[in-house]
Amino acid sequence: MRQGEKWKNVRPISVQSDTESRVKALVPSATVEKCRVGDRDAFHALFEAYRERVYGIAWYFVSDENAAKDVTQEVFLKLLMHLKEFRADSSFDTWLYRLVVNCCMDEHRRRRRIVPLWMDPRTHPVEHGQALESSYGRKEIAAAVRAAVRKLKPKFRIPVVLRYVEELSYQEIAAALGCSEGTIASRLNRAHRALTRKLGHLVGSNAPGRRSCDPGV
Amino acid sequence: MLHRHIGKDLVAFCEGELKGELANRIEEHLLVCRRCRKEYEQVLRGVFLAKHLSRPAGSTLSWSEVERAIADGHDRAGHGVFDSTRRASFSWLGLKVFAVACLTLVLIGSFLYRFGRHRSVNLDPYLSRVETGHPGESILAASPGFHAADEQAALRAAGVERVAAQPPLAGYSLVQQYVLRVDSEEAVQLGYGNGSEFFSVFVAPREVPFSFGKREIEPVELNGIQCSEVSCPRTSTVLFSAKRFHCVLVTRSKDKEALAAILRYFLSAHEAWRPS
Repeated sequence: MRQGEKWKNVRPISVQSDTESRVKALVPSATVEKCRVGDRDAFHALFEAYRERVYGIAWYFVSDENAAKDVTQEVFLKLLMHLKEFRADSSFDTWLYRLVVNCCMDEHRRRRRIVPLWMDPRTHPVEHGQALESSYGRKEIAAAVRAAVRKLKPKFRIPVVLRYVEELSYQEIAAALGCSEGTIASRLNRAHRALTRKLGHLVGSNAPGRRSCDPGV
Repeated sequence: MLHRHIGKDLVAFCEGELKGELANRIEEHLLVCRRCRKEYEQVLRGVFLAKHLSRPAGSTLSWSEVERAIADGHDRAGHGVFDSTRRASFSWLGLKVFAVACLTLVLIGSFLYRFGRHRSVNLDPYLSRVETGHPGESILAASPGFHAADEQAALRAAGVERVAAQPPLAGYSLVQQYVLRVDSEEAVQLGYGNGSEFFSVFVAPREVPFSFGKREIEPVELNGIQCSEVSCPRTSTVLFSAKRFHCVLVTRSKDKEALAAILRYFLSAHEAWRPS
């Protein structure tokens, strides 16, 4: 099995190398150690530190807040069960992200269905030639993008969420998913193109960040 | 520079994270390669869209709920989840229950296999062929397992014999009709065309489900009609139902008005259907 394929069956295992991750842990390593030996207060601190982050990722995989809450709870229960497998010489955050991804994938396989019907922009006509973002507003675009991301296949959705919601680097995402940075780049590339196919009409022709490389032909 | 290589670097390039020689090489390549330039435009817009993502509003999951869940785990396991000294225990009763459960599953599976294997109409191979083949030939060709049938018998089995005088869309005519016997029921495939556009409608009694392999199915609303869309990149594949029948429309057309008209045709026929 190529390394790029392994992410489908990724299970919480110790991260082999600490060079792939520069994520700053939200809790000291001592807290993680205390959790491993059964300190309930330490686990509470861990929960409070990572709750929002885990919930944020789960939210993009399930259809509603209650389901995201269930997945979040499951992540922390599994974290408690498998914490002994974590080696303290590697990044806890990367290990946790891998656990979250596995739980989200399990939940996705369990559900594999309804994504809320997203707003069809074609039913909200806009003046031709106008930069659509000014008509739609950032809020509406964000809602449309969220819905479109939720419809992406999981293997494309996960890198997008980790990159743009959790702001992880390619290296960190690759470490969390157990694949190469090239694979991550490729999946992000395809995810962006899928988003553009669905929502490109929401973006004016002068999207910010455009570099001047037009040939002028 | 290979196109594939540029494809992988495009996201980082669009985000301004590439510097120096690599960024310059990509810029130079984009000046001369129309294909990569098009891809760059797509990725750039995608990056712009993705930057609208944000973490959702705070989780309502509380620590007390997690504690309760942990305590539930304590009760089931018979020892504390926080008990780092717990030892595995072996239960003969558990083994017996497991063995009985396995045996039951095997028996149920055998029963379903024996009596259920012909019960669904698998449209996945047909859809795969439609996606890659010539529109007319592939849409009008019989789905695997279906056989050519008498027109009137097929229309009757599809529950549309009372409205068959008019086609679902003006200018179209019934070109092919096929039937698949599923135990005591019949599934029907009706193929329509106007010389340049084609569509097929599969009709089966509710007791005979359609299956679509691993394709995703999402509820949608089509001009006010509640239905479901089956994930097929190059076709419009819509699952809908009324009363005794459910149907699958397969077409390359993306014209919502036309799709809705076809759905209304079959839905109204089935609403008014009475057994002969």
